[in-house]
Amino acid sequence: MAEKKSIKRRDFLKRSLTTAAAFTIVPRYVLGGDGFQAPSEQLTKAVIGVGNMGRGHLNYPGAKLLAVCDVDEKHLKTALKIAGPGVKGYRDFREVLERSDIDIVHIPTPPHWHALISIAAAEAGKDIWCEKPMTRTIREGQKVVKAVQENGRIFRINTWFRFRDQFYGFGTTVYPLKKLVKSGLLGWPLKVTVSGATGFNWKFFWRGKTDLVQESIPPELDYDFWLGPAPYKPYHHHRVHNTFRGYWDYDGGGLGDMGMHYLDPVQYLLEKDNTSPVEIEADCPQQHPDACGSWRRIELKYADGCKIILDGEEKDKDAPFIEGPNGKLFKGFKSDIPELEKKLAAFPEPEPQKENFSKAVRTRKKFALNEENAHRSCTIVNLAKIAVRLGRPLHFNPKKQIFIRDTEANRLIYQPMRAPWYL
Amino acid sequence: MINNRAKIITFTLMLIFIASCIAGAGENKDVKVKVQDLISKFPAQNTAERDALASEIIKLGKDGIMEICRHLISPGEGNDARVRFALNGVAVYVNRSGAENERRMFARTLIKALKDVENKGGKAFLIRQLQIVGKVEAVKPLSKFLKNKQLCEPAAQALLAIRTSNAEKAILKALRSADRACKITLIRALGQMRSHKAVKKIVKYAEVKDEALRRVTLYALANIGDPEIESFIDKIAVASSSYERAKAPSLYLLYARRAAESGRKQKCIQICRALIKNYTAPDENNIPCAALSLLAEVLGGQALTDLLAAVDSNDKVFRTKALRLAERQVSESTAEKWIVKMETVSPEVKAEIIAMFGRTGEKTAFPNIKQALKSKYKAVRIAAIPAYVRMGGQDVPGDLIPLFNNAEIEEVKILKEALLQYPFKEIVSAAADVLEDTPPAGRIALIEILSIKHALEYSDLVFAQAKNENEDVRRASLAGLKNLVSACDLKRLLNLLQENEEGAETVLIQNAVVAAANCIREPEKRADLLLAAIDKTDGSDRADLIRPLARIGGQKALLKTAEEVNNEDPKVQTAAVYTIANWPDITAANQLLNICRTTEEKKYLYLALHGYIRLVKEAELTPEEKYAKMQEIFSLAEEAEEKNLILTGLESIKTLAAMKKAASYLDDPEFQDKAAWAVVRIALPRPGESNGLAGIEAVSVLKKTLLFLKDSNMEEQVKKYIDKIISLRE
Repeated sequence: MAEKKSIKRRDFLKRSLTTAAAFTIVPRYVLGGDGFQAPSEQLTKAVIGVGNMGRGHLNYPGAKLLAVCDVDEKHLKTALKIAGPGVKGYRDFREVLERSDIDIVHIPTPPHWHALISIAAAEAGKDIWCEKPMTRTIREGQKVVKAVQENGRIFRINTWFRFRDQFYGFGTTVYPLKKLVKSGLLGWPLKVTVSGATGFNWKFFWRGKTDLVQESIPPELDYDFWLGPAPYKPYHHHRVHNTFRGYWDYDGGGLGDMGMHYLDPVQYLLEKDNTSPVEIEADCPQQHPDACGSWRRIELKYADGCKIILDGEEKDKDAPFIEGPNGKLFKGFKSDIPELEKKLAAFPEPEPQKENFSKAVRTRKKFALNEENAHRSCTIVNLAKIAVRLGRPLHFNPKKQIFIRDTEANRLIYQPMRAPWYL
Repeated sequence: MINNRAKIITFTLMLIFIASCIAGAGENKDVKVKVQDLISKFPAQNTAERDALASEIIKLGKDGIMEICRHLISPGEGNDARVRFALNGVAVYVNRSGAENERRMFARTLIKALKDVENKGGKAFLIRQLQIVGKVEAVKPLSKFLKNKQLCEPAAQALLAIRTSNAEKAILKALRSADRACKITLIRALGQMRSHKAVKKIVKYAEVKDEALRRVTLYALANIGDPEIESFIDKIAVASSSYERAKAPSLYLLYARRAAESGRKQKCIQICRALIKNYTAPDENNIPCAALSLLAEVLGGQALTDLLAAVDSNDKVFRTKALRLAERQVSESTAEKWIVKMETVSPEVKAEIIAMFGRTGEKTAFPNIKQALKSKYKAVRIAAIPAYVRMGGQDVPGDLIPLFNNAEIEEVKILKEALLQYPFKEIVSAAADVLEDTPPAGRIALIEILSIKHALEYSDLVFAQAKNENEDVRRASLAGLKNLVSACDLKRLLNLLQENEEGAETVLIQNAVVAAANCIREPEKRADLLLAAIDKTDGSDRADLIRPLARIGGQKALLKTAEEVNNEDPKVQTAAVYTIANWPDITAANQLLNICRTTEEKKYLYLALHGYIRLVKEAELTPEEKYAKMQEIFSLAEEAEEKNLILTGLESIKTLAAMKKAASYLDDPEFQDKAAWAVVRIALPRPGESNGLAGIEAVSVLKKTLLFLKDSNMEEQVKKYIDKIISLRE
């Protein structure tokens, strides 16, 4: 390796030109500032976006924190104080990605940045721990999947209910639910109904405001960088920290914020990790083009007839439940199928999931909730968002990942980014 | 005569003109009124209402829509939310199929309005609506904004959405004299349009000093994929920032992809192979990975040689990528090549290839994987187990179970997980047959399998292991019993409990006792055997028999436990208080209240209060009944932690009295936070509730609470709620 380091730039260029015509890009370990280091056993990480959500990521176990990054000076200072000595602060995430000693990049920024930073991180050879929702649009999600896979990266999204903790409102982990669904005791197709009252109040939070009066930008915030790929809108404090989720430009209200937590386990239960719903319908008041509003009910149907119902009005009093032609399963693993638990014991257990991210990084095995299935569960959220915004039934082609004969809906699949950002 | 006639005609025409002006003014006034009325109805409460309102607006025609557009104002200068709801609602409405005429009329009117609306915010909004509804008719009007600093971005995005050759021409034309900021936007747009016409015009920016301009140009050139640009991408390595150098291979690959798409497949292959050859350091292994991905995409099955060569790399990331790509194209013939390769590589790589076969389930390798189960290398064996399971076959459990005999800890776990993926009948009897002869690590796994599968017919086998000298085996069997016992096992479980002296094992046996007791159909008989046993024991044994009662319940058991609260032995006392505090239903409320009132032990008071509040919270009582029950304990809470319990209990009781009681703690600095939170939880509607607490007293308490709330979101919600209550009263 010392020999490689000693190659002078001019020599390298000359050699490259003779050995590989028309290709002279110099490897990073030759030109890179920090030089090449052999990977050690200790994984290292950077956290990009250290507001409220991001500060939680500072202490996630498994890797040593080396860098934090934020476009808000106050956030950065607070994070550096928490992180302690040896951690460097950055304002521009691109400088973080240049560091060759960082293995994993955490991305708890607002969602309008998730795709850009995930792709840049993948192209910089980093593994990725991204906050939910994975991306703001379906096309962004596809691009992240492509970048992560092509660059051979390990990716996880920061929701965990498919493999750990009680699934909101069901009073059980997802594991026995998965076993039940796989057993076929409930029959097929299944309908899963979830509701706000079964867990977090996800429908009511994060509504945007439609009467914002422009304010002066606080000196500690680089607002233009905070907006990044999002359209330029005059500054108001409600658009940024803590309340940004109420605006379509950055997220998608409570649905965007909490949707993946609820819907990813359902997707896993229904074995839909490699597909998406084909019919989507939302019952909701008209949505403002800028500010996210509320909704009453969203129904998503898969090609095989399985359904997901988001009951925003608590019409289904027994929700959450899973319903099939042969029976129903309620909260606390209660069912109308007699002696269910005993019957279930005879059936195979679900395949174990890889739920240790550090181990996934070391062994290069896909994490339980990786770029592929996370993109599909985020697609459920994004489909629901589009249905809410357009207020009419939609038909989706899960393979091509576009709406069928619906130009307007397809324009919401990919929203252009503000220059100079691009996907 | 002629003159007179002319005068008459002129006069008549004037009259007609004046009349029409008056009528027009009237119509205008009418339109204004209608528009005001329609705007006031937004936002619609559902889609049907939105579409009906949009349809009304469309009926007003251009004049009506123009009038609506005139109500747009710059953000910050007032609230034009309803206007935006209205225009966006129409944009969505006219996009329905079969409404092309309406869409065109609406788009043209928006274009006209762009001239009339003065403020930039309003113009930007209109342009965004054109991004939704605009087609060819919008190209020229949008192009006028491409040199405007504030409107260039939305206009370029709208043109990108329209994406016709005229849109491309318009952007190219604007590029000539646009300022630097607009240039960046326009070049990015041309790149995204893959405009070959743009190459000659933007290539000069590929080497400028301005990094942002240079970077976006290089992206555009790469995405367009014109051969002319190769030399420019080539120079990134020398002249650019370190970020650009790091991004250069990605741009190069983007260019290579475009080359392949335009029929220059060899160029693409050449670039990919060069990148694979040149980038070999671990911290840049993503680059050869991406190059190999593209190579496999372009070459398809012909990439096999490259993939086979890739697994010779020392870099695990690169090998993993190669095998992920290989699994997509595995067939009988390629499998044979991989089988040959498998025998020439290190055990680590062999394990990786086996895992690849496992993911595909390709059966050609089945005999090799079966053989690998007995490899001398642990990594190979571990990879072979799940691969073998995935490939399937009836004999799999029979082949796997004997492996427990020589398995190391890590393998045992994987073997267990693998076997559990089979149905009960295929593994239970085989596991039971070998259980006693299997070494401890494997035996533990087999016991766990029997337990998870609820293999009741083998409970004796597991009971026998409950006295094993090996602590781990013993504990595994005790832990597993809870799934293997029935009512008839209760007696021997109680014996086991009394014989046991290990605290950790006691809990496991108690779990099995609870499971067995709860198998008895009649609830009141479930505790009988325990109650009889309690009287025959004392000290720790007695306490151990009392504790499971909390999970069994029944009136007799409750009375007996209450009696034990007065036992002279403190261990028995503690067990009894703990048991009642965890009682499953409200029937224990009086006993808990009694403990609260009579005990002198602080810990008993806390336990009893905690239990009492839990039972009240969970009980099926009206809020008023719950509050009445809570009142019984107010005077008993003296210490801070006891008062905190009271506040927790009040949180779930939605009555004015509970709210006022919680608010009474606001004046004490020690409880302000928790009390404020409790008041808000009581007063505001919860998810699924339409109403919270109302009335002047509620407002007064909430206003006071506002002084103590630290969360700005919560504060805002409370203020909104107060306004709502007040408006309802008005």
